[in-house]
Amino acid sequence: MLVRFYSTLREKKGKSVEINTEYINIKSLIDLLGISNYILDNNNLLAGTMILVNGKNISHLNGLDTIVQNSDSIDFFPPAAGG
Amino acid sequence: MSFFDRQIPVLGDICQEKLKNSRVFVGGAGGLGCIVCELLVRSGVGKLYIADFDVISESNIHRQLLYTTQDIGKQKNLTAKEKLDSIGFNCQVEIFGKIDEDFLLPDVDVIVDCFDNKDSKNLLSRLAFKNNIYFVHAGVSGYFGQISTLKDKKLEDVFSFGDQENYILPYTVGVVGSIQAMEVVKIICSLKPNLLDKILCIDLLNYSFDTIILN
Repeated sequence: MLVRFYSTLREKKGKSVEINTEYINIKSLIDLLGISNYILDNNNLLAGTMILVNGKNISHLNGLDTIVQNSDSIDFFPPAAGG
Repeated sequence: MSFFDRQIPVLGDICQEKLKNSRVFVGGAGGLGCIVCELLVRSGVGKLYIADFDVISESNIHRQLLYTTQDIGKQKNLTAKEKLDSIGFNCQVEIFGKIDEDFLLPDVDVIVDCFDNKDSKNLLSRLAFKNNIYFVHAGVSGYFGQISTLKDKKLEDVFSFGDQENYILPYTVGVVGSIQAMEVVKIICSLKPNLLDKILCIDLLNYSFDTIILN
């Protein structure tokens, strides 16, 4: 699966990474990518971080339990709220 | 000679006429709002509504290009209107203060999100969704920013925002605000491609532009 990072996460993890794994939930994917320190607090997603699976926010899927597979595209995105 | 002699060869007469007849609502007259409002007035938009209840402070001046140090302490909406009227184009500028869920939205073609906090952004998005109006969102933080257009989605269906952002660079605001204004013109003139159901992610640190397609 293609995992892409944006904004401040890109500074830490680079632009993208290809992961080859069978079915895995988002929480395990975060552990595998080694980014839990940046986006999780007590196993909850930090405010101001969003994860899109094939362009859909996981908050409207099964949250961190959302299952992804090799054909999926995952975007880790901390949206900016300033103006 | 007309004010638009240099842009009509690019956009065309029909688009210029559409701009003249267009009505745009801009939420927030801060960094993004100043850029968006000025560019839309100079583009030939016919009617502009601006909502902001804040006053101009010292920390605003480096990126909020309609204001100067002489304006510190004044109302943003009134000052923005004065500056935009002084351009001398035939754009009617109407201003509002704080808006809430019961706000009676004027009849507009596009709503532009230039607010600087998630509550105001989400509120404006809900009003756009309820009235079935194009919603052009943008946000900035440091070197980074994003722009997205929504019509049949609310902002909270897509974005999960954090707290109010205090790290803002004028260059990011300039780039993101300019693209936001371009997007408004594209929607009014039906120019493609646009950012409907996409997120354009801008990274000025690495000079990268990426597009995420929303589902």
